Amino acid sequence: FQDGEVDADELQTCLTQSGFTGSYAPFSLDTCRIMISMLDKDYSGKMGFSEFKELFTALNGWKQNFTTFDRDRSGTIERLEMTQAINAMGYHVSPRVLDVMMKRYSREGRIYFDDYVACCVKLRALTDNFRRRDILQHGRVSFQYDDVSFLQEQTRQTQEVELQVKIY
Amino acid sequence: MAYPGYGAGPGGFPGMQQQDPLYGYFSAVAGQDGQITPDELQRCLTQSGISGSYQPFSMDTCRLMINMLDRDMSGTMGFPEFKDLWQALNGWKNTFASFDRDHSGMVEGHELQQAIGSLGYNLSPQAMNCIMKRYSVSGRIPFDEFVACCVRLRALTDQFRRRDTAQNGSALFQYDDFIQVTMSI
Repeated sequence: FQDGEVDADELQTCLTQSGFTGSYAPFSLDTCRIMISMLDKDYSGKMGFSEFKELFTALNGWKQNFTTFDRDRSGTIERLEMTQAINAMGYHVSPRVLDVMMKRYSREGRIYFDDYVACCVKLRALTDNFRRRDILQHGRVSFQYDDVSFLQEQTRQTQEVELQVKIY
Repeated sequence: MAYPGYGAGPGGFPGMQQQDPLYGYFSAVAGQDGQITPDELQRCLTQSGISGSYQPFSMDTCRLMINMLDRDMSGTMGFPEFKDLWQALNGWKNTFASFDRDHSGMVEGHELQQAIGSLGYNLSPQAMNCIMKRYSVSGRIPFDEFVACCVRLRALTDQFRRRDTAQNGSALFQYDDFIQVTMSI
């Protein structure tokens, strides 16, 4: 931590050194970028200590969830287990959403821990965004084509300030 | 009046496919099933030279392209979709090239704004600002990133328009729907 904040590279180093992923592969740089953008409220492309603590709490929860469903200890989960894992986290989504997740995050029908975390980060950020706008809590939001609807996109470049993208 | 289930898709008789020069590139990488995966698409586009003097497309961008046209959610692309994509790519490449006057393979932030505008997208300065930051590398936007941006814009605009039933620029999304659309891109 040079300036009291970590960027994606530093986060990756930190998490790898902590042995957080255990017997699973360490997090990719891309996944670290996604994690930062999820919590990057001041759009700095970096994460401070309190945000880091928040991330760590979330990561622990996701890891426990994953290991619960990775019963054969293969380091991967397949569609049925992914469905159970998503439900266990409290999300109510249709099978079509699972289709989309499997298509986006699976490799040969299996989801590795790193991709699973990337998926959870994105799902959480999108859901938070949606909820904030669903003032009446009806499960519906009306978006203007051009307004503040965010795609929580991962940072592509470590040097650049990454942002949530409004694309509508 | 076309007979439903006649069989020949747009483009005429099935035999015509073989004479299409694009089919040559496509079939060189497609398997028996006539579908291509993202990495096959990457190979195919690279071999076709469509990116010209620009860098070949990244895997991420190829994956995005397949998702954009993936109506059956298979994660792969057939020849008709490939032709659609080819057309779109040519259009985007021409637009990009018209702004890349120094042939550097990059455009400046404000040129991106003009390029997006010239494609017909009507976005606010704030939205454009976010897009610029998202795709720029040291303040400039490379061709591959520009294409990724166009793919997303096109896919999301399509999704948005389909739900904007009153055509007044606002669309209602149920949560599940929102997640489906945004997680796939």
